[in-house]
Amino acid sequence: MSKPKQIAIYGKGGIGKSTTTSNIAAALAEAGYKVVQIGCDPKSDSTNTLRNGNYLPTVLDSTRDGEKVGLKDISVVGFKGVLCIEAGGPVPGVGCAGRGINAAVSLLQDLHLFEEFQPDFVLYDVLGDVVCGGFAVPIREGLADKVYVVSSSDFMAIYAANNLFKAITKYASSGGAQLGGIIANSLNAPYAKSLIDNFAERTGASVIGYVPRSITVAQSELYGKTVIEAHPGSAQADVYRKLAQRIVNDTETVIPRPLNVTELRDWAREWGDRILQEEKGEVLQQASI
Amino acid sequence: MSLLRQKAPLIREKRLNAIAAYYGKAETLLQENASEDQFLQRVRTYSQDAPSDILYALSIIATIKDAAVVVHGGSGCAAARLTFDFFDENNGKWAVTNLNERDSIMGSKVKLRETIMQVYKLHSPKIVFIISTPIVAINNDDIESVVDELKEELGIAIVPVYTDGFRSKIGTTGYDVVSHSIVKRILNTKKDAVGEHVNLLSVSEKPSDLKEVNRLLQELGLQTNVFPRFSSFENIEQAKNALFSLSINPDEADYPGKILENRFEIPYVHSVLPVGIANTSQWLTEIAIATGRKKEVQSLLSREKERLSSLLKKNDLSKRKVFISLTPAYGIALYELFEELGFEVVGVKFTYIDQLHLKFVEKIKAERPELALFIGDGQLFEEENVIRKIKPDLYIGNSSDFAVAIRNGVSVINIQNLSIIGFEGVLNLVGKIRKTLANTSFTQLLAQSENKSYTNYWLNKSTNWFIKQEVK
Repeated sequence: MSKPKQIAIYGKGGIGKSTTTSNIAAALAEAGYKVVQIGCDPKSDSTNTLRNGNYLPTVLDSTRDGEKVGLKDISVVGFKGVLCIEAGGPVPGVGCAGRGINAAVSLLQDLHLFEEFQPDFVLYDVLGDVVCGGFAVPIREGLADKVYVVSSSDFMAIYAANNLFKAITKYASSGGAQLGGIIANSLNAPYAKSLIDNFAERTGASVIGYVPRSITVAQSELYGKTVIEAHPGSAQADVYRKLAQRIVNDTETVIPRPLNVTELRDWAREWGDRILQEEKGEVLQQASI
Repeated sequence: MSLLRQKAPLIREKRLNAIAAYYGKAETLLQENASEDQFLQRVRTYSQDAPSDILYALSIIATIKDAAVVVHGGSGCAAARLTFDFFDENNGKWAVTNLNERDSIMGSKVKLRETIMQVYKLHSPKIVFIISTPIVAINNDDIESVVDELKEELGIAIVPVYTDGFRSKIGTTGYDVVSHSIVKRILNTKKDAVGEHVNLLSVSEKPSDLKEVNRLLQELGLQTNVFPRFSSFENIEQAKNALFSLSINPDEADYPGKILENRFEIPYVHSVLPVGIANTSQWLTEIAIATGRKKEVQSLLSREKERLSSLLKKNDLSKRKVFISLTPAYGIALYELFEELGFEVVGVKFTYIDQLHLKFVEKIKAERPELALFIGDGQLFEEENVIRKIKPDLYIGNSSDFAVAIRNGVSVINIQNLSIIGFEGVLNLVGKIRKTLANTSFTQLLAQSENKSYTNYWLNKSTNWFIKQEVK
């Protein structure tokens, strides 16, 4: 059995990380690969669009002390055979979500998920604000080989990406995962692409794909499907297919150079000024017509 | 390498379907076992105490020569290590990282590093064990990066032991974690060449137990390498080159035996616990088969049996009632020995039971269908409840629980400091039994005092009142 490629996808909450991951999973499955997607977020909605609304109990809901749980109790086969798993976690306001991710991942190891299912790709969809040790589990202990981060051009998304880079740097020397690259998502502002490119350049990362903001995505989500399933012929579907292909072919990983607090602040301010100038420029142009 | 891939072994509940709460017939257990779920997990809705894997892990590590220990946790967790400061040469060779609230929030890498450095400077150990505690486990705090840095820097083995105090209700899991960590971290190279020695898998044995086992094995001309309890750094390194690994206690040796087999293809020879004449003979016969020393074993057996024969001719112990309260391997071996001696076994309490003990459960179902199997670690309230109902003449157990028997007027044999392994062990035990049954006045005196440990309300209830099956 060849070792599956294990990929962790991080990103700030609400940035479109689950949408991106699910579409990549769907595109990989469509191309004939065997894929597992594991949602590592207590909201447990990572695989919604892959399993056509089929109920999926989370790993943590299914387990109790010492009780036997089988792989079939905690997984559902979704679009084109993608095996969907949700780690789950406590309800908001109680317990410890990071600890939950930790426990769920070790249970999956206990169940010999990879030996049983023999996937080509395992995608971990992880809440991107790496707030504690639990959320770093997929990149520690040699679990994932590669990490991708989904980011928009919003400062808070960049900030979260930078924090993730810090975590990668911390664990890379002791066998942790390295960075595959940045996936630029929901781009619509004119400056968005150059802002993300610049951040990548400053931190030694590369951008592996640009996903434009698109109504097709919003509509597919409302139908509870991925773009690949709902609009297979659309341009947006091709964007995800290209991303998936890039992930298949990419072999290079890097240890990023995260910016420190002052560098990040100065970098953001610089961009603030540039964006303001651009906007003023537009205003001046309109006025002159 | 699959067993060793993860940082800690599977807990006994998952690996061997171990259960720690049950009171009832053997038949019910076997019926459950026939279903897909095997033994069903029950919980105690009230529990008097619970074992911790940290204590079990420390009990081995405290005996390893050339080693120092860092308890990575709050200062209270160091109390666990204090318990084992009876062991001569390792006394005081330990420290605690003394984690406080801030460390639990910010991470404790710096403190861990500094503590290891200090222990290294003070004691120059060849191995530093890092015992993980609940704070570290819950926080998922990072130990690995410190281990990686310091093993390079100091050039010694640094072994994180991922205990947590809460994942398992079976203390023996803590023993497994130690073997797992040692094999994973220290024996991480290929075997050199097959040596002449045999790994003697010792996990909870006393020095006097090992003395008897070594005496028997030396008579057969076998060279032993003790692992992991009481081992030195050299013993540990030599474990990978052994001819085969040999169990003393088959429950406890199960994990080290299997991982050494899994990693280095060292055959794991396991048998019954050599307690009692029949079991010790069986254990030696198993070794005879593995080593081709049938003649030597036969002559040893006849010599030893000759020595013991006069002892067994006296038939003064039959018809006495005994209650056994021990770990499963000891409990099962003693059940058989007491039957050999003519006792009536009126109750058995084992700390846990798992798939390794099916043969015994089947035996009970066939021969003693009405005998209740009582499974629990500690839980003195339940034990007192039973003992008052069945009124045995003799109780055999450990110092942790025997008080319940003695205050109810039952004579007690505590095997904590009594070596009962091998043929010497039979002599020791039978001598002790005769002495104990002949001198009962101290027990009678204690029984006269008013016993107010538990209310009559509880003592009149059924013993399994608090043992429930979880409803999904």
